[in-house]
Amino acid sequence: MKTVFRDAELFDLIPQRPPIVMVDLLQNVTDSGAETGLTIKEDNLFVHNGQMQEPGLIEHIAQSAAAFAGFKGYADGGQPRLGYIGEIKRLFVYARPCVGACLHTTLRVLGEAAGITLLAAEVKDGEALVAEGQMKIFLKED
Amino acid sequence: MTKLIEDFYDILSRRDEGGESVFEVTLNPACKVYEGHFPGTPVSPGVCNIQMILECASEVAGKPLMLTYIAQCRMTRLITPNEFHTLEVRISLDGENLRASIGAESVPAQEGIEAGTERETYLTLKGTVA
Amino acid sequence: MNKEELIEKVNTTLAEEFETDIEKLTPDANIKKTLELDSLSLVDMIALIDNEFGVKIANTELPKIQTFQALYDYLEANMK
Repeated sequence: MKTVFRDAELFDLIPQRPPIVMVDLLQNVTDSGAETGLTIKEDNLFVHNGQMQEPGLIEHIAQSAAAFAGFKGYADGGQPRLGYIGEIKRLFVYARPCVGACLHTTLRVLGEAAGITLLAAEVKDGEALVAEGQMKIFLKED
Repeated sequence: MTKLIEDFYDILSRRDEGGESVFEVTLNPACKVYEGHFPGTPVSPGVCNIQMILECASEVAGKPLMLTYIAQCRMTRLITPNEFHTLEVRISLDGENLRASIGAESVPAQEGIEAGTERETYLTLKGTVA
Repeated sequence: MNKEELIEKVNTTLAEEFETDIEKLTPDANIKKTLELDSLSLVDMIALIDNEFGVKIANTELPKIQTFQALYDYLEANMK
């Protein structure tokens, strides 16, 4: 089974489409987490003065979670479901990464209940931690 | 103040009310973000609503702010651009501490439910800016 | 950890996280009502229990765990 998804291949997993696609890599998926990536391009919706702004980083985490959830659905032969952010908690933004940066994100599931998943995420640009925090995502029932 | 996503919203008015700055805003359903969020189902991205809060807070501060920390941001109802004529963005800025909410003065009617008149809050945020 | 210690740790952990008066956490009290949990904060409790006690509460088990007593019993039965 396919285990690495890049660029438009992710459209099988997430409901978001351009101009608001904020994840371009999903790999190393396990039951309890995954790794994702995003290369920041000049024309990214959330880039201003050559730097990715805070909502872009948060949306990258949210769509990483969407891709992770989508992968589970895909593995079961399902379509991606719309996922929404329910809550953001204890999220730090340390820097605004620049155009050209390759973000590398580690997701970890902390808990699940009643259709809501609590995840922890760490976003790195090379070795530098640019953002970290928790997010709750709920998936819309079909 | 510069907007990150130029046509996402417009500020209609601003007033001060008991230590809070209240911005009346309107969302633009023609914004390009809805082409992808989501095709055929326009829903205002939570992060765009957060950016709108940050830009209103920047107006209050008189300088561009960076959102360095979100202690908690709860989104209790989806916000869609077609549903609301106007929304209220409430900003309370005390040094680096930001408290904000997005709500509406009256609730639009939904299928089987009459329009309400109670003020409702759809998003609350506690955090730190720099 | 014996059962008394378990109960003590559960109560302390939950009362602190959800900023509730620990006196209100009695065995027969309803968890959601006492801690004022909504659908968003329920998952915080699940994650906290997993982190502190190493027990994952499955979605199918959740409806059976209404009171603190039910939670203590579930943890006692499932802790390694």
